Amino acid sequence: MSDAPLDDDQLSRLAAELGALVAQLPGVRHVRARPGFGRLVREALDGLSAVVGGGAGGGADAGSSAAATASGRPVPVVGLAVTRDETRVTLDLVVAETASGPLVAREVATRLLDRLATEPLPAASLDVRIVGVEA
Amino acid sequence: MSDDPMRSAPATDDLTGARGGTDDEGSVTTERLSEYLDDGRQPYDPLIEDDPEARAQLAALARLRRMTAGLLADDAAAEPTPDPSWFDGIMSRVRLESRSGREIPLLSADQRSSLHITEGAVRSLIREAGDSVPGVVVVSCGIVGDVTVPGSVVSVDVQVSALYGAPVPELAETVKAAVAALVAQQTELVVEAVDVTVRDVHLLDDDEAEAPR
Amino acid sequence: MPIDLSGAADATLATRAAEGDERAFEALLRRHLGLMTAYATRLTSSRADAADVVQEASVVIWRELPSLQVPEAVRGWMMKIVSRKAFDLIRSRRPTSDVDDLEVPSESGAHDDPERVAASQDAMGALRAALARLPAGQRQVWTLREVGGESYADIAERTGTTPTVVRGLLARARETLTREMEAWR
Repeated sequence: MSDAPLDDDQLSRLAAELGALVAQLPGVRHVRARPGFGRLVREALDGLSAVVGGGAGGGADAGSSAAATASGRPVPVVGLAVTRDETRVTLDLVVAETASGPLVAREVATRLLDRLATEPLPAASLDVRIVGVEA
Repeated sequence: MSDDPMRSAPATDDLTGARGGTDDEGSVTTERLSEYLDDGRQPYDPLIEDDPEARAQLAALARLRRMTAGLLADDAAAEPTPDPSWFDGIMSRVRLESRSGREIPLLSADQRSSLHITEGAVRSLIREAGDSVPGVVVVSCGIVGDVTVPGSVVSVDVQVSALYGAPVPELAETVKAAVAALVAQQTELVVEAVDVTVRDVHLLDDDEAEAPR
Repeated sequence: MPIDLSGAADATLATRAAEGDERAFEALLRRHLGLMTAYATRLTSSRADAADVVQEASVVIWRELPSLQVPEAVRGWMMKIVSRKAFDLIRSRRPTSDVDDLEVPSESGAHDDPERVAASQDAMGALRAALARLPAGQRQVWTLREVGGESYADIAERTGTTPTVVRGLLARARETLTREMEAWR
C-alpha cells in the first residue's frame, strides 16, 4: 500500500483532523464512524490504495489500526479510502435539533472539500449521513 | 390472572397427558390442579370443586404461587441499580445494531458528494415533535412513500397516547403542526399529509402510567 | 428537552424501542432489570452468571423487539429471552446434559444466604429455605414454569429434556414445596 501520495500514518492523522474539524461546526453534536465502512468501500471502489479510519472494528484497515496504535491514538471515526481517481470520505453525523439538518450536512461537505483541496490527494468525494438528531 | 402476560403460555401442549387429570387412585393430580389454576378455574370442574381435598390442595397451590411472586418481587426490589457504565456498555452495543432504515437523500452542492439523512433519524424527529406537545407521548410513527427519490411526495403517520381528559382533536392538530414543522426544518421531504391517531390514553404518571381498561 | 419516559406504559416503550428509540429501550430495561436479574439468579444460582446473562439478553431484546407481536406482553417476552440466555450459559458450562444431573441437590441459590434462610420467621423465609433445599433441576423447572410461565415444550427445550421429564420434576417440586409450606403454617 505504497501508491498513495500520503502514507497510512499521514492519512490516519488527516482522518482524525477531519473528524475534529467537523465536530466543532455549528449544529454538529457528534461525528460517528459509518458501520461497516471498510467492507463498504471495498465493495464500492476499485483500485484501493489505502483505507484508514472508520472507527475501531468498524472495518478499519489494518494499516489504519497499526498507524493509530503505534502512535497511541484511537482509530479515527472518519473513514478515508483512496483510489487512483478519488478520495472517498465517509462519516455519520448527529445534528442538533435546533439546527437544520440539510444545511448542516451541506456546510460539513463544503468545509471537508475545502480542507481536502489542499492535500496531495485525488479529488474528494463525500458520503455524509445524518443518523440522529439530538435536543 | 388472565391479564398477566407471564401466564399467557398454554398449560398443556403435550398430547400424552391424561385427559382426566387424575392419577391411578382417582385423586386429582397436582399437575391438573395447577393447570386448573392457570385457567382461572374455568371451565368449572365439579371433580375438583366438589372435592374438599382437591380444593384444599388448590388453595395451597394458589398460596404457593402468590408467595413465589412475592419472593421474586422482593428479590427484584433488592437488586441494586447498576452504575451508568453498565447501561453505557449495553447502549453502545445496541447502537451498532441501530435501525436506521432507508437513506433519504439531501440536496448536495457538489456532484461527487452524497448527503443523506436516515429514516431512523427522521422517525426520532417525529417522536421528538410529538412528545413536545404537552400531554402527548408518541407510540409509533412512520413515513409512507418512496423516500429514496428526492422530491417525491410522502405522508407521515403518527400514533400517540394522550393524557386522559385532554381534548383529542386539538391535541391531534398541535401534533400535526409540530411534526410538519420539524420535518420541514430537518429534511427536504415533500410531506402532503400528517395523519395523527390517538390510539391510547394514559393517566398522570405516579409510578407507572397504565391505560385505563 | 426530551420527555421523561420512565412512567410510560410497557407497550408504548416496547413499540418505540422496536422502531429504534434508544431512550425508550433504556427506560424499558431500567424498569425490568431487577426482575430480570432476580430471575437469572434463580436459574443460574450465581450472581456473576446472572449479570452476564442479563447483559446478553438485553442486546438480544433490542435486536428482536421488532418481532414482538403483542407489545403489552413485553415483560413476559423479555423474561423468556433471559431464560433462553441463562440456559445457553448453563449448557455451555455443562456440555453433556445428563438428566441425572438435574436431580443433584445444589448449593443454596445465590439469594438465599444462610442468615436469610435461617431467619425463617415469615412465610417468605420458609419458602426461600424450601427452594434452597430443592435439587437444582427441580428448582429451575419450577422457576421457569411458576415464574416465567413457560410452556412444557419450551422448558423441555431449555433444559435439554422432554416434556415428560419436565412434568415429573415439576410435580415433585410442587409436592415438596406445598407440603413444606403447609407444614410451616
